[in-house]
Amino acid sequence: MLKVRNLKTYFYTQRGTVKACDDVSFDIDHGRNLGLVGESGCGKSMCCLSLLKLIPPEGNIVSGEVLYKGRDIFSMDNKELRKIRGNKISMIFQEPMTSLNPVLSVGEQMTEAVLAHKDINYGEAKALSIELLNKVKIDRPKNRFNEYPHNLSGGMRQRVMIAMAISCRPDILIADEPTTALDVTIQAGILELLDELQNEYNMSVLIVSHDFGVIARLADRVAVMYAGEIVEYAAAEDLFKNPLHPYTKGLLSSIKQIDKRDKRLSTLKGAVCELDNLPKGCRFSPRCDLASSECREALPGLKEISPGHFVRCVKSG
Amino acid sequence: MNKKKKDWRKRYAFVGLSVIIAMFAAAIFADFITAYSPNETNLAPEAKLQPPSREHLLGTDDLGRDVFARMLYGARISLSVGFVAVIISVVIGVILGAISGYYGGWVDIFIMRVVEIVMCFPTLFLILMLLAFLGPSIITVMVVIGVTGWTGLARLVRAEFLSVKERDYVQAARALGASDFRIIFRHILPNALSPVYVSAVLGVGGAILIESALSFLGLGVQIPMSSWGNILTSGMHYIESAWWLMLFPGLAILITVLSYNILGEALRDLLDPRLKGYGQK
Repeated sequence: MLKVRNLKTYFYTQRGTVKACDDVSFDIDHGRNLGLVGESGCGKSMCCLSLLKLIPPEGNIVSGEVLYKGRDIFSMDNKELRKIRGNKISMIFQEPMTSLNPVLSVGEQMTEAVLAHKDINYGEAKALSIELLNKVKIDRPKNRFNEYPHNLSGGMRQRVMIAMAISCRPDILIADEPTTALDVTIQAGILELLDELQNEYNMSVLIVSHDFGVIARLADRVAVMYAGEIVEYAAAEDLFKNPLHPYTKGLLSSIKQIDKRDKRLSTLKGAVCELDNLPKGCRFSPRCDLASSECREALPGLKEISPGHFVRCVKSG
Repeated sequence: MNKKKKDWRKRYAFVGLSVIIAMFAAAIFADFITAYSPNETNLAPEAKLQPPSREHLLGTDDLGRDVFARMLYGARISLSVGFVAVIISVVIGVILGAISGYYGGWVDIFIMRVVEIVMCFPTLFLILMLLAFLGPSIITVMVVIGVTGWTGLARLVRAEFLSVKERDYVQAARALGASDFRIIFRHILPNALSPVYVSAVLGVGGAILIESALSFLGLGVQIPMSSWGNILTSGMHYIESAWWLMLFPGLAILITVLSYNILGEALRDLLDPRLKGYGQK
């Protein structure tokens, strides 16, 4: 349903070109969820924002295409884009505390989102909003409708954001780290809600996270991003059972396992390379234990190792 | 800031606001407050240039007109000029500042250069020149003060927009398909208004001063219509013999402008989130 092909989003800064997304390609199939994993600063958010052409003005979508039901989003004008945003493809953000406008009531913001896309009157929009608040399990939705964001907790605000995002029954919901700013119990509730809504509305969720736990909970397919590139792309089960890229392996092994008490938590050495100062050759090579001179020279391409399992590593396959 | 100091601020604001409301009330109900007409002359020698008395609270001028009545009716002009001129400035300043801050780039550069050019002119001389071309009348005075006073506001609004447009909720609104117009006026503007309130209130005081100066120079409100400024002018020739002719309109201008400034300053402190008391969200 959504095809992303060779997406390149660059930022031209005084220090050089920051390649936030470099040659990113993936598909989102109808009713299937895609997980996008990676460390902070690896370009996940910019990738999501690029899909709806929402990147800040300093950013440039250099090349690539995003096809939604065969239509190229990048060639749409603003008016067409607005009809897609929030309507066909909507998005929720990382920071529920700041994603709602403090001076507008919950109801004003929700009805606005509905009225922007649907041809209904205010009364119907209000009824729909209250129904949606109920659906995202906010208690006393009628009262909450008239309250302001500061009356709500972080988890509730994220629920309101979700309610707004699904108000037009989108085909795709982009969830950019929807639980990162929330504590663990709230996180579980939000994920459960997303799961339920995904089933009920039969939409696709693009779930972005640095947390494999979150990804495992929702995603059918997973793309692992490193330094602006997708380094591994596979079905979720396949990826967890049989990770091929050293980076994916490293990430998976650095998850805390409660049953292995005496083992020291393994970590990935070093930090993500700066996106404006990429190493020659494989971008992961400076941190990779397996790196050889070959890795430091050649830029590996994405290879299909087994059906549907892609890896960007010279050593694999 | 501790609570005590904040209470003082509130009290200041209250005093300023009360004086302003009283002035407006006096101007609106001028017909009921004084029995005299502002333009009723009495050229009998015993009625001219009379000092304040029970009959004429603030005395009479060189044409035997009641100064109190002239000041009450003059207040209508002075206060409304201040008010309307600031509304014009706010509308222009907010719209241009919003466009400039929101869109950035060439639009921003162009608007800000216009602002700088307008700011380079000494305002009073620019106004005098415009009035000389357009001919003095209340409407032109209001418009001219308004269209020369928006530059500071435009910069203020632009600065607020630059910071507010980066907030998450603006991006969230865009992601939900809101148009630029909606984002500017519904999502950003309400969050960018508190410095505008302060600046507008202070601006009213400034506009009243400019109007008085213009009327004093004879380019503002035209005789026989009264304004605080032209009452001052007519009193100028008698400053040695009839002190009341200059003192009272002068005081009225002083008190009004001072009240607006006090209110503006107090509003600034009350609206500035950095100065908000502890335990308040």
